[in-house]
Amino acid sequence: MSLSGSENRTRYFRSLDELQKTPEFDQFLQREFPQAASEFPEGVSRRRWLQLMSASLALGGLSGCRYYREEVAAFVVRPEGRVPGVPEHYATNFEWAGRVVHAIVANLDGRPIKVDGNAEHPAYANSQPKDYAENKKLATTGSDVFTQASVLSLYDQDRLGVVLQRTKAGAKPEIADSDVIAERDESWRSFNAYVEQQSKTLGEGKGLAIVYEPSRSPSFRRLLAEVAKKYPAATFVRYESVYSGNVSKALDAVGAANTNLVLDLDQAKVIVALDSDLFGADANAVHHARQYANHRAPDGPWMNRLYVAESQYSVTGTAADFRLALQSSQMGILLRKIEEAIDAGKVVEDKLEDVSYDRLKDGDKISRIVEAIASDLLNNKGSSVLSVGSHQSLALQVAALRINEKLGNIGKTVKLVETPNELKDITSIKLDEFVNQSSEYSKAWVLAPNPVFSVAGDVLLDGALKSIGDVVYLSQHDDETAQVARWTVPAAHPLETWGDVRAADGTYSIGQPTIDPLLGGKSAIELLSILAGFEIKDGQSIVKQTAAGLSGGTLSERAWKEALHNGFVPGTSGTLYTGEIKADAKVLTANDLRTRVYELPEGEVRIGLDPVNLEVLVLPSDTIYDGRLGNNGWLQECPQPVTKLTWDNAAICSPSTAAQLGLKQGEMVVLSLGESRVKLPVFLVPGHAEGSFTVNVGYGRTKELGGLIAGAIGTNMAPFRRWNQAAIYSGIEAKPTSEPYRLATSQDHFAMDDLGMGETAKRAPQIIREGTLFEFKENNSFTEEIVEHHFENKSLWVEPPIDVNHKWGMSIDLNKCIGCNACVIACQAENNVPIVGKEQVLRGREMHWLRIDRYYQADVNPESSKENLHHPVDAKIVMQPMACAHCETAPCEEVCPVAATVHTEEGINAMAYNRCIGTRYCANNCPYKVRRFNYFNYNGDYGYYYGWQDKREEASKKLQQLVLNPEVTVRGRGVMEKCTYCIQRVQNGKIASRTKGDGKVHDGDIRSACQDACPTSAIVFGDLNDHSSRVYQTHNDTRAYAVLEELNIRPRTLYLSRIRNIPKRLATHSQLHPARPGAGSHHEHTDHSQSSGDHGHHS
Amino acid sequence: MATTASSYNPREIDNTNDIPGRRAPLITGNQTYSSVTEMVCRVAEDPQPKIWWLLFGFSTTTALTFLALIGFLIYKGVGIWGNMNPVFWAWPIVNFVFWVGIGHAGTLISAILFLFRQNWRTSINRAAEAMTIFAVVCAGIYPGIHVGRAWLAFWLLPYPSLNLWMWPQFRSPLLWDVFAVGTYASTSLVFWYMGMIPDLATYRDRSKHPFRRMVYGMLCLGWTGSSRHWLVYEKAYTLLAALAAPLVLSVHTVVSFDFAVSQLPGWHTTIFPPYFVAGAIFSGFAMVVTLLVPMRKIYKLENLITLRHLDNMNKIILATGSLVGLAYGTEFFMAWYSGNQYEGFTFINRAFGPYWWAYWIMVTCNVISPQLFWFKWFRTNLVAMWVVSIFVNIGMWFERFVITVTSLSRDFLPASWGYYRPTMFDGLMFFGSFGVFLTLFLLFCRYLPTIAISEVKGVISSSEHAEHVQAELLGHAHGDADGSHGQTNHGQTNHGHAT
Repeated sequence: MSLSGSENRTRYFRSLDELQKTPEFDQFLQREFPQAASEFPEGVSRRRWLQLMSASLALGGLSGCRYYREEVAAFVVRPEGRVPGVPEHYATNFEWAGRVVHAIVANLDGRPIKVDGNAEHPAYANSQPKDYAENKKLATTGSDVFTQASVLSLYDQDRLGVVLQRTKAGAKPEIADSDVIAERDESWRSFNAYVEQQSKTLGEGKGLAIVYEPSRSPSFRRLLAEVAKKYPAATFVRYESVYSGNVSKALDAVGAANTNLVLDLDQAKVIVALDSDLFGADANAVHHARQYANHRAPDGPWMNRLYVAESQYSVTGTAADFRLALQSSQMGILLRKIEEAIDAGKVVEDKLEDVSYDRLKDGDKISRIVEAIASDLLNNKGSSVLSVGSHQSLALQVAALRINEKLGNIGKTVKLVETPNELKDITSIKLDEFVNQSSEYSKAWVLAPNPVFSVAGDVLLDGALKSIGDVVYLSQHDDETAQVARWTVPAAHPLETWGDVRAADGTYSIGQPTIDPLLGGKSAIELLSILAGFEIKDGQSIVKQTAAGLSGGTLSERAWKEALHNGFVPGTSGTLYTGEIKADAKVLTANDLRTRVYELPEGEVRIGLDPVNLEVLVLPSDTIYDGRLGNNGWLQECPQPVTKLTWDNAAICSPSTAAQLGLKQGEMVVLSLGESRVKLPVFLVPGHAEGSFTVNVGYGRTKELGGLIAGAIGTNMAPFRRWNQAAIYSGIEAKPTSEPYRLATSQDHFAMDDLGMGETAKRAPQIIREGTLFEFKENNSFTEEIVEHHFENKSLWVEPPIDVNHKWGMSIDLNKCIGCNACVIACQAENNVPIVGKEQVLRGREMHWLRIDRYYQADVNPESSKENLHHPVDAKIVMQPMACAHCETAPCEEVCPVAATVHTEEGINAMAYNRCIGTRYCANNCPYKVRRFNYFNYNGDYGYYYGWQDKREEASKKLQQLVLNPEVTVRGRGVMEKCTYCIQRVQNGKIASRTKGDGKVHDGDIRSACQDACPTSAIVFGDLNDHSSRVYQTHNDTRAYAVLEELNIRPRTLYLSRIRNIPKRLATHSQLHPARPGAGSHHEHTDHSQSSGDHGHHS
Repeated sequence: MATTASSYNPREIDNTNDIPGRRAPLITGNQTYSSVTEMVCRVAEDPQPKIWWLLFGFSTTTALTFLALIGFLIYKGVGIWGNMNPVFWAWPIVNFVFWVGIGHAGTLISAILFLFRQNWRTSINRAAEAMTIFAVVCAGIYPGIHVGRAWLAFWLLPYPSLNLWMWPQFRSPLLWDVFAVGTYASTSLVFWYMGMIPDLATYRDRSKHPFRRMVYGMLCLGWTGSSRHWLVYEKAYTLLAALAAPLVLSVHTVVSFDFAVSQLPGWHTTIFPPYFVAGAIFSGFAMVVTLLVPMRKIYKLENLITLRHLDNMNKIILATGSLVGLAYGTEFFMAWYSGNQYEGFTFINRAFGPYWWAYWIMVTCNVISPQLFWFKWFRTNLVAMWVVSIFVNIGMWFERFVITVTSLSRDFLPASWGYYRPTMFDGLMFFGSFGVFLTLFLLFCRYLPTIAISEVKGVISSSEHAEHVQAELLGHAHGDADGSHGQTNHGQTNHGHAT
């Protein structure tokens, strides 16, 4: 049953009407209802109750992908091929958090529960590893945190379910009861009546403004163009909350208008990323990560080399082979130097220098870096990439194109994909112009998500919309923009609506709904057709029309079905731009005043801190993007990749910058630029550029408007921002305050005592083993020499067999892992892992089964060791995903008094939740501390903010329970839980092999959720008894090692050591002369058990 | 008679002297059998002093708060405590070990000192045993409510489960704990109760109110004081003492296994069993001193619980305190000598890491403060010894805190390190357990014989014998003791001289 389409409702109630006529029903109505109403338990409001009932009714009758709209009740006859309890998978595509998602949605009994990448989509298929062609089961899909968490936003308990009507701005809306279907319909009827009445007076559209967000949806763009045709006098206002317009401007400037810049890292042997978060914030992050990881095998034919220069510490920075911390505002100077070196054409041989990189003076460092980068680029003409972050200025974008052209990369590693531009006939203005001339408008339709909240402080959109008055706003929430809108129309979630997108390579991809709108929302294309009064109003027909138009007129039903099934129309990718790149500065000199913009700044690169020129970099968050995903609990609690910060934003800076400015971790700082000022807590990240702060946007929603999750979290950066500056704000002031602030991190933050930091520095190299490519080439077994040799791991007793039939195991390649968190959220979605809220994270009670440990590494200069500990300059960050390793001799099992954690005969360390009484002894005895305990009823009281003070209405959290995976037990209070290697998938895979296959489980048949989500294929799961499996091969790799192997716990999860492909000239002293305490005692360690008193090492 | 005894000022005599060849009297004031009976029975028969009511009002309030908080805990979840990841065990387990430790002194005094014929135990064993029982009650509460699903805590017991057909997991030290503490609690209870039977008969005989007479009559199981009764009683008492003696060592040994068997650095060490037992005796004796110093004053039992008793206990505190100090040192030595990097760091972290303050409180209270007992003045000064005994109690609580929390807070992987902070519920519930303890102890004073009357009578002869010594010390001859030797003297008298 649909809650939105009016036809369905009438049909549904038709049967009730009939029922109503019977005397029994009358009696039932009169007697039972009041009685039941008076018996409602306290704490569950009538509204919520009805909401739940209606939601569950909706779900009861729904089927994914719209079977027949008539289906309103449980199936009497089961549709063919549909088995209750067996998830169905649908391909869909949608725009999400500024990027395009090609997804496969797992839909269980009518509700989507998991979103993963679509391996078949050309965008992914093109970057599959080479063995994919032979065996499609080995396909790696990969996705990102946004995609993984998108399904939770569908069940957002704060979503709008009714058209809100406000008599004036800021007034309390005339709110219909969204839980009563009749009232909800009424709200839609009055909105439709309003639109109808408006359309009569609109005429040419004079005084009408349509505020939209640039979209990659052909249907949206087509409709926008058609609306423009219908209302030629209307104004179109484009607004992007995260500005990336300089890239397309640069493409325009070089003559490649209407193209899309796509990097093909699969061919790139050298990647230079200047302030470019290729694997994080970039819209094509998943592609980049996949392609990058394809060439990270140190024993492969070649291994790529990634240079990163950036001010923030991004995931790309952590993955870099060489990283330079540099203020964003100096990136242009660095680029100029690189370009000059390339122009000079001097290739310097990479050899051992007298002085290692880390012992050089700052200026010498820069010249050596520039030399190294330029030499590498020149050596790899046509197979290198230079990328500049989209928030950098136009001059840098143009220069990057120019350099890539000089290197012959354009068309090879840097592809300019021509994209049809449906909007070429529309002249659109920018939001600031719209605000300045707001008096000229009498009506505005706002289709961009919450611009009033995200817009820069100097654009007074709020007042403009107020003065316009007649504002229609499409939104999922009753948010800041809704306060100034006369009509707020509930927006549907992409999983509920029809849509389409154009992939990065131009492939036309269709988005189909996997559920009817839960709360009766509309999509932007549907609203546009309502506005224009088009005959075709439903999303499916609109998209079909677009698809038909693209395929040249007609689209057969068969082709349409096939496109839906695959999620894309093959052969629609765009052609490559082969024209000239007119990026020579001289050509542009003839142009107008903009000339100067294209010139890279002069000067010298400074690495150290210059207190005069402080800058702040204002960037979208790695978890909640620009704030539109703020009400998603998984994302709020997802530790930000580097800081491990949850539920907050902070002013991130380096420890030495903080020390010089008098800032302390856990205290507030006031950042000011002219009139703008903002107060934020300080967070220290070693390796962050000196003299630079990074702050994420999207936080600081008010408690009233932010919703249950996003409300009252963090600090709003929007008022600080200026319209004409994208992200980099130079010349700021930073004043310390002594005001304390508690930041909830999932891992101990940097402000640790000396003792702990010293020990961490000592242990980290053993936990995350790392070497350089040149070391690996000399000695490929260095991994086991990193730790001192210990006693031979022997058992004193005969162990029970734990490898019957299968022997499950996992490996994680640290050389591929970029720490992007996709696996963390995938695990959360798959395994019903609850969120716990800031207060509980502060108590260290986050529940993630899979966490990503982050360690800082810095060369400790013997002369200034203590200073270095506090202010490491060239700090590196290494990431290590950590979950239950399923030890063969698991310490947790031995100490459980009730045998609640036991081993399966296939070697999985299993949890019997029902047997667990919660002594927590197992967790104490777990050396990896990967066990998680339900201190409160986290999953039962779904939502956030637990603790003994919690008095929230429980029922309001129930909508989110629809996201739960019924394959996995929902754990109650007082129970221990942990990674199970996705035992439900293992069991399903085994059953499927018997029922559908040849009775054997083949490699790739069973994949853990984290493995599926990993964009770099760093995680491999499989059967160690199958000697052809990938996991068997990785376990026998020379780089494989077990963390804490000396405890003789024999974990089934092994790690592959990290190899940095760093040029020798840029290697630090310790990279050139690594300490290998275990070297040279290979053959002795077996007889150590006899030489008592000796500790097994002779070094 | 009683008047003679009470007119004697205990301050005038110093029975803490150890003059070679001469025995100092164990009890003072020319006690007779009847004066002893009178003195002890008076505690329960006279109206309770004001301070008793004050303390009782306070302790019952606290105890009831504790019970209410347990209800809230079970309603809300163990998350109301500060326990976290990685410090999964914190205050509740610290409190458990603390109370079990305190519960050590009673059985040690009554069983081991009995078997070694240490007659000075007679005046203090009853109160010490009572303290043991009550401490074990407090200890027993914690593991039960500490588990995540308290209503299923009975799964720890090896009962034939009809649903599952399974036993508990016998390799787990927590299960051993259940057996060890269970055995200890039941044996101590039986031992304590059996020892009280002759005294309960005295209470019965002196009771005026029929109800009171009935209750004591039932409790004393028909004791008549016949020779046959005494014969059986003595045999049984000795046998029980022999049974209880190894338990003194076993219970805390097993409790230490909770830690020692796991592989956590700082827990995984073989020194724990002896170290825990020494610590337990140390804390138990400290608690006895803490209780008896005010009790003998309030109930005017100075002649029965004399300075000599306190002096002896303080010597044990000194000895066990030094043992504990040695254990701390050994742990450090082993952490270095083993060459194990995790172990080494754990101990440096204990002393100089974020919980340094807890470690140094522990060292100050447990190692330094009992060293004052090398000086006789501290051993015999009531205020000084009381203060030191409180210090020891604090120190021993911190010892368990240091072992449990600091080891857990920083183990193998630095990424999972954390810093534990207690909540107000941790504090209130620890405080509340003292309420339970004190309530039970006050009720014990009010209704049960606080001193083993029959056993004290056994050592009177030695005090009589020592009268001459006393007389010499005081410089004047004492009047003849008024001794009606009418009551049955039991076997212990034979050993009356072996102080």
